[in-house]
Amino acid sequence: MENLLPIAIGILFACGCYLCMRRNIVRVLLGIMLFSQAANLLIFAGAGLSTGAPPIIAGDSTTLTGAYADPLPQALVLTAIVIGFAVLAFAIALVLRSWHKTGSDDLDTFHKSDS
Amino acid sequence: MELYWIIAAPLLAAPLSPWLVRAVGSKAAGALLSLVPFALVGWLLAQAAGAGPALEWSRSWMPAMGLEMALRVGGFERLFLCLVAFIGGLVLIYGGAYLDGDSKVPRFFVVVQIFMAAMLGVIAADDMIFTFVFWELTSLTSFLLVGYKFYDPVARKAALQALLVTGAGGLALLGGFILLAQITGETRISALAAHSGTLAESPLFVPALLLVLAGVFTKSAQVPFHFWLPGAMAAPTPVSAYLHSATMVKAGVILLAKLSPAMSHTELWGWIVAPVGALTMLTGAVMAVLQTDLKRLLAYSTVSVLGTLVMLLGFGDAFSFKTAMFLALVHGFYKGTLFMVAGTVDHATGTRDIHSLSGLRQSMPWLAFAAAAAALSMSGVPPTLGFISKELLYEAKLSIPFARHAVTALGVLANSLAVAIALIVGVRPFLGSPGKAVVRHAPGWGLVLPPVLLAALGLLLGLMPWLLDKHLISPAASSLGYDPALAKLTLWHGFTPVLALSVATLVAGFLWFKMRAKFSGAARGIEKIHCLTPTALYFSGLEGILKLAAFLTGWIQQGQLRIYVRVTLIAASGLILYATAKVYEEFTMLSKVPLGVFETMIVVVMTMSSLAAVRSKSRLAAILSLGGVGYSVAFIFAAYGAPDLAITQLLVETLTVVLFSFVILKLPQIREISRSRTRRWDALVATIAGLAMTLVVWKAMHVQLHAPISPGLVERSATEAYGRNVVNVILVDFRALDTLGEILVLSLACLGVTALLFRKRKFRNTDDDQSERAKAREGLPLI
Repeated sequence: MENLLPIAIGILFACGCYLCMRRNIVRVLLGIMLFSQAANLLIFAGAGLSTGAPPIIAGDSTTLTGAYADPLPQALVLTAIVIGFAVLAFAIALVLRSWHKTGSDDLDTFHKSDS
Repeated sequence: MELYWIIAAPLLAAPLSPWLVRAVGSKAAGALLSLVPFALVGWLLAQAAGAGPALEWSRSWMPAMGLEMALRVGGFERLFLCLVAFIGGLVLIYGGAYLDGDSKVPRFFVVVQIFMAAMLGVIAADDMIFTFVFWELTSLTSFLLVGYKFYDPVARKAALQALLVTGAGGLALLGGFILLAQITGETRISALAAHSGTLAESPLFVPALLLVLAGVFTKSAQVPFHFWLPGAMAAPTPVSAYLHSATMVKAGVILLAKLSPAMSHTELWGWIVAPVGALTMLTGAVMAVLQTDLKRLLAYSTVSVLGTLVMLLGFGDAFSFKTAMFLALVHGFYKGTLFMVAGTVDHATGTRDIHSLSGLRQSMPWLAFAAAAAALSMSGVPPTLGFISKELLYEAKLSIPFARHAVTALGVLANSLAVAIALIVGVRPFLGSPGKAVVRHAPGWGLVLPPVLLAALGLLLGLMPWLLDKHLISPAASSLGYDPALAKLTLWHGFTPVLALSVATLVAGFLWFKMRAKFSGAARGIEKIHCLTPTALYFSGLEGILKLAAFLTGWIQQGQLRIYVRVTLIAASGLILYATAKVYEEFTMLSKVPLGVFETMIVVVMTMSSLAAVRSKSRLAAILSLGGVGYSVAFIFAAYGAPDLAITQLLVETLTVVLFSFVILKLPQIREISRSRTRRWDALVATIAGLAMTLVVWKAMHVQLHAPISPGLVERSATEAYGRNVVNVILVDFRALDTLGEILVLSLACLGVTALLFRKRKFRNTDDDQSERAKAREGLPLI
């Protein structure tokens, strides 16, 4: 799995990048979503995959025993997921607004409509 | 009195000046403000009488880098502090009268006093970086003062030119200082002399010296950087009198003198400093005679004197050093006077053109006296200070080891031109019958007293040169290790070759003056050739930089997202591939985690979904594939010990899909706009980026550079933070600030979305506004 997952993340990232370079504004939006998924997986997988138990301490103990998944990257990714959602919501609102305002879905025409 | 008051006093007085101007008017304010520098002069002279060791003061500034705010006032510093403070006081009186009625007077007072503090700092500071700070402050204040008439494009241009030239030199100087500190391990200028041997042997000495000299030569207007000084005459005359004749332009000379004990014994010093000084001396003198504007004439003659000073320091012997000290003082006296005289004449008659000024003696007798006294000193007629300095100058030139006759001949030429200049500026406008220019309004006391005072003091001291010698000049030379006994400041040196040279200089100068009309045609030719080269280089260089900047900006900032993305991806992937390729041999195939059937299927589904998202032309299909990716990611989280992440991801993903499904029909259709060639290139770039990403993830799984901090967090989770879910504890306790930031981001995004969709445009009432708002409202319930 340590060899398969990086390739999958790479493909996910490449798809996101490709979509971000499109001129169609909706596809850029899709690209941002794939992009942030890939980034989250990078942090999660980069810390090392674990087959251990989730980092939750049992009721009768004061610390984790046995193999456990690293809690720190999980905390970072949790924050990243939420922030990613906030950015996405803003991006959707922005795209919606610009579509109503300019009637154009082509990013190349946007620099002419600055006002 | 602590030493820092030298700098603090004018700085504290500066913010008071606008209030003073409002309260008592600019003339009285100038007189009151001048008390501060005059008090400083008094204190310094009282110290001189004591003639103890150098005063020092220091406070730690950046201890980690060995930097101090160190001040040191020995004989040398005292001489220049007195000069700067004394002329500064006079200029405050003069400026208050000169600019009376101008609405920008408070600004003048504030900036001039900040400049004064900076200049005093340049002289007194001992730490090199501390010196540099003041050095740059003088450049900045000079910029503000030259551009005093900011509505005048000529003044703005001149101000920028002065700033760019001296600022570039300042940067070079900083580099030189850093090199000097690295070679010697000292940051104090006074401590460098002890390392003169180490300095000369170091391979870094040549670049260090060249950088320092670049700073000195730009500041002190040496050829080929002299062109900014005549331009700086766009400043009001009080400023020119102060900054561009008596003080700031001498900062370079002062620094050169301070560094000379450490460096002047090297051959390179003599080979660069002295010839540059000599060339500047001659260029300035020739250019000065050709001018018709009083101030430009004086500016070029200042360039000439600065060249002489630099040349003397370039000789590097005790005699020349003392002569330079004396000349700097004398020049401050007569040039300050002449500038103020020129300013008063300009103020009273409205012109500075030498052709239309004559016979002013009758209407302004006191001014005529000041001008004559200064002119006599400048031409070196006994019994003035100028005479003594010129005698010393010739003696210094005659005693250098080589080329003494050529150098002396150059000196005679430059000095005879100086005589002509003195006659043109100080005598010609006042003699004869009244010319075209008439005195429109008689100058007040504030415009006459300062030049008269300065001239009278010069005359008086000329009769008692030993006073200066004993209390200022000799201590200045000896404090830097030069024997002051060699050069004697006396009026009568006996019938020596030097006296003959002095007489010859005066005669030649008078002849130049008489003949000046004859070569004015040729003069213009010389001026064209000469003035064009450095100035033209400056302007074409400036234009070139602006064009390059515009080209680069246009090239990089094309204003299209996909180009930014492309450039960023190529650069980042290139760096990553380079870095990972270098450590490739460390890669081994890890397989601690088995390739489970379920997990493999999830990963395959995720990959297929992301590819489908790229291919899909229908908005609905796009949403479905995005959902596929998101849910797969959630399952990956769940499979590898992260239930919290999986839950959050599922919730957020569901929310996203729902949100998207509502909005998507209001969004434009998905369509391909790019040409197929562009698409292929983008696909290539994306593939490379994906490859880099794969390598990073792979590499990150393999290496563990530092000990993980998680065990510590796990241990303290239940015992200290009283939480059993470690991830939750990290979020709300250990890294609670991060979570606070996250909440802030969410609120901002919420505000942004609200602003975008609920925006009411009250300032513009177009027809489509109403329908637009209605359209926006349709989308509202979604968010």
